[in-house]
Amino acid sequence: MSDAFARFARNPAALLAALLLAALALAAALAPRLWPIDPEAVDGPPLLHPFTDPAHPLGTDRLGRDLLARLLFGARISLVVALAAAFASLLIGSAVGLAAGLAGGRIDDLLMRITDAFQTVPGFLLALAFVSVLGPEAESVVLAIAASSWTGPARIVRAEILSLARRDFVLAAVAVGLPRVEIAWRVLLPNALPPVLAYACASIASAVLIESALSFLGLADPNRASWGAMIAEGRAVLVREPWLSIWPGLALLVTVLAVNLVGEGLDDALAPRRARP
Amino acid sequence: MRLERRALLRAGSLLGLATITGGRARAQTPRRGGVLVVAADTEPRNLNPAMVASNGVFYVASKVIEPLAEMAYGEPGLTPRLALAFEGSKDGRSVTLRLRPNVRFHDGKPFSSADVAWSALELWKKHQNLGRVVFKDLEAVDTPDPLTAILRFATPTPLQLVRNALPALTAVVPRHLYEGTDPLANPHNQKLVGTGPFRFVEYRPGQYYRLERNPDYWDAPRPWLDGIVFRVLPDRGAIAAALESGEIRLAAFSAVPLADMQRLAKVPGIAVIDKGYEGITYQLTVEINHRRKELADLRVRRAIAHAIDPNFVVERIFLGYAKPSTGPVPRFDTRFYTAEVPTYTYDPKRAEALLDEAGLRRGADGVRFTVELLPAPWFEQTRQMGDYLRQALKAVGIEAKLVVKDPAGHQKAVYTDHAFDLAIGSPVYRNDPAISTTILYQGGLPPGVPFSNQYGWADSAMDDLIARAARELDPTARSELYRRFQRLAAEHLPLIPVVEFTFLTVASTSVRGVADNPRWATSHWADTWLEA
Repeated sequence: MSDAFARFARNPAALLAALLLAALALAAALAPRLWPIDPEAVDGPPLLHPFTDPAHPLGTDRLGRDLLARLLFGARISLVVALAAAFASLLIGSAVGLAAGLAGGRIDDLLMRITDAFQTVPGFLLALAFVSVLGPEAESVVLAIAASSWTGPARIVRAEILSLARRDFVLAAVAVGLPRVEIAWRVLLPNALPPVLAYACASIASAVLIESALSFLGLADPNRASWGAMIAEGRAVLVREPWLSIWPGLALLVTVLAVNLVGEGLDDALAPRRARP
Repeated sequence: MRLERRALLRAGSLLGLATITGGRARAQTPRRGGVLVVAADTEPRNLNPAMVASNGVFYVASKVIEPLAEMAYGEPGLTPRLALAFEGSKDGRSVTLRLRPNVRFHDGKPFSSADVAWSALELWKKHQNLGRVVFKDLEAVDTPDPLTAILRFATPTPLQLVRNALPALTAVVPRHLYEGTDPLANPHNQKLVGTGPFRFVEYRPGQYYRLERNPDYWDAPRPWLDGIVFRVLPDRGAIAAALESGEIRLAAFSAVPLADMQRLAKVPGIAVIDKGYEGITYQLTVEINHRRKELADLRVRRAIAHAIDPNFVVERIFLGYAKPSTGPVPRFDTRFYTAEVPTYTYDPKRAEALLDEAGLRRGADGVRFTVELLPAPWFEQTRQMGDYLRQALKAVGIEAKLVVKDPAGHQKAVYTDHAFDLAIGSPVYRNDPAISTTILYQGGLPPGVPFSNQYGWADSAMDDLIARAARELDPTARSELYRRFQRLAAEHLPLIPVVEFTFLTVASTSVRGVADNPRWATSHWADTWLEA
């Protein structure tokens, strides 16, 4: 593990991205202290240009709400929802993959057909359908994203389990007479996890994007500022006042890029032997 | 009453031209020819204006199917279309219509009183959203000769109301194409046949509606245009771009975002026109569910009114294109409007005092009580008003949780299920309080009637006043009753009218004869023409 950490630290892009993410997470977590302006409060002139008033460094939106505050609170929603969704999809996916890989036979067939069924529906459409039925609360957005993205981890875990199951150390564990559950939990899963973790990082990025796309379409909780909704609001004045959409767009770009770079760095660090395409 | 034929329309059209050319030499004679391409943003399933009286339908259909009369600027406020004159009996039980001779439908069959009778009894009265209210007591339509139709009412019905209903409620369709069919399933609800200046040629869903000039029109040499194409452009950003590139020449109903208007107004060759919608004035209202015990308290409703700054709504949300409301009737309709009503100025301190007085004190977290707020999703401004009201209420200690639904879901939640505490609505005032306004205040309506009093509020004095005004035959007395109606509405505040607003048209300056009547976008366009 310390090897992996050293390898990660030698990757400057990944390291920078990780620092950036950490800073973003910190800023989001401390938003109410760092920038104590209510993101929903109307407390400035409308459409104030950025960098003109120190009270509103990024400017204000059409109603006169502070864009920096909205951006920071938007980061909270984006990150929390994305992390929760990625974690949930990892949990569901690993459980299904583990069960399928271990059980084999009919159970494996059944679980994989269910996975197929979910995979045939485009992920975003599935998320859309979920949110329009369950409502726009953060919990249902998490559920929607998880429901549309658990299939990846499920397939990876299952494939890893199948390839690991014939390795000598696993056979040894069986020969020693360890119970199956213990083999699964203590032998197979830890060895199957590294590629899944790298994948999970990438799925955080896609969760951030799905969350923004849903709120862009007006399907997110209207009571909270979110990046997607900010871009959608800015669209009406895109030609005249583009920064309304540019700030959340930039935030989205940086976040997704950083998450992806970290994911790639993790992938390299955890599975160094694999050749990269 | 005899309607002056053209003189008034001329005056109106000069007014319209003056605003669009901005002082350019205007003594030009209209030119024949050219196809006008305009933006459309909705595609109604039923396009028959005799059945669906809505602005989305009128926008396309009013060029093909005509009403008996159209609104006009100035007195007497009407120009004749299919009816030349009308006259009411003393007892208010009948209205005699003299119809225009030598009018043919687009299929060549002559227009006659039989078509008026059939449209009135079978469509306006039975199926039309507005007609069901105004023509509910219509018993029979006599047709002594092909050019005379006599509307007979079971109870006295004010001539003033019938007259005010003519522009929006009386589109006439050919009886021979509808009789004996199920009107709801009739193919001509999409493939329109009427007497209007333009014939319906083609509808491509998601693409366009195409109309062509009716060479047989009764008002020859009108129409001036060879045709009209309504391009379906649901994306508002795309509409502004299409206007600038010259792909379309006109966009009505503020199809371009208000924030873009100021920029477009400066583009050479493009004009922003704020006339031509007075007859279809909208209001932005806060709808209140009186089933919620806090909101049933008049002091709380008054507190909410005091918490709202109408000037903020006008300046920030409507960018100046709106006026503060004093009550359910907009200022434009001077026949009924009165400013002498109780008003609620923006005063958060007073609001807090009223809430304290009502026993709703702030809790430890500063919150007095929590409500669910449903902004209507159809206008950008109704949604923005939701954001604003949430903040305005928070300032006085009321926590509002926004719930945004799709249009159908919103309508069901508010007008059928009553699953809301506060809502932002946008009722239309249509030329007479009895057409679509008193229904917002009348008690005892069954659930499911859209845009009506589904607020759980009923007041016998109000119901009595509405009923009396609906029977009052004398126009002066009737206007006075509606002034009392406005006072009573402002006193009890069952809902809070915040601002009144109309729409804007953005058009190329080469389009002439625009906004020449108070509901121009939803009228015939026979006088519209294109510069060479």
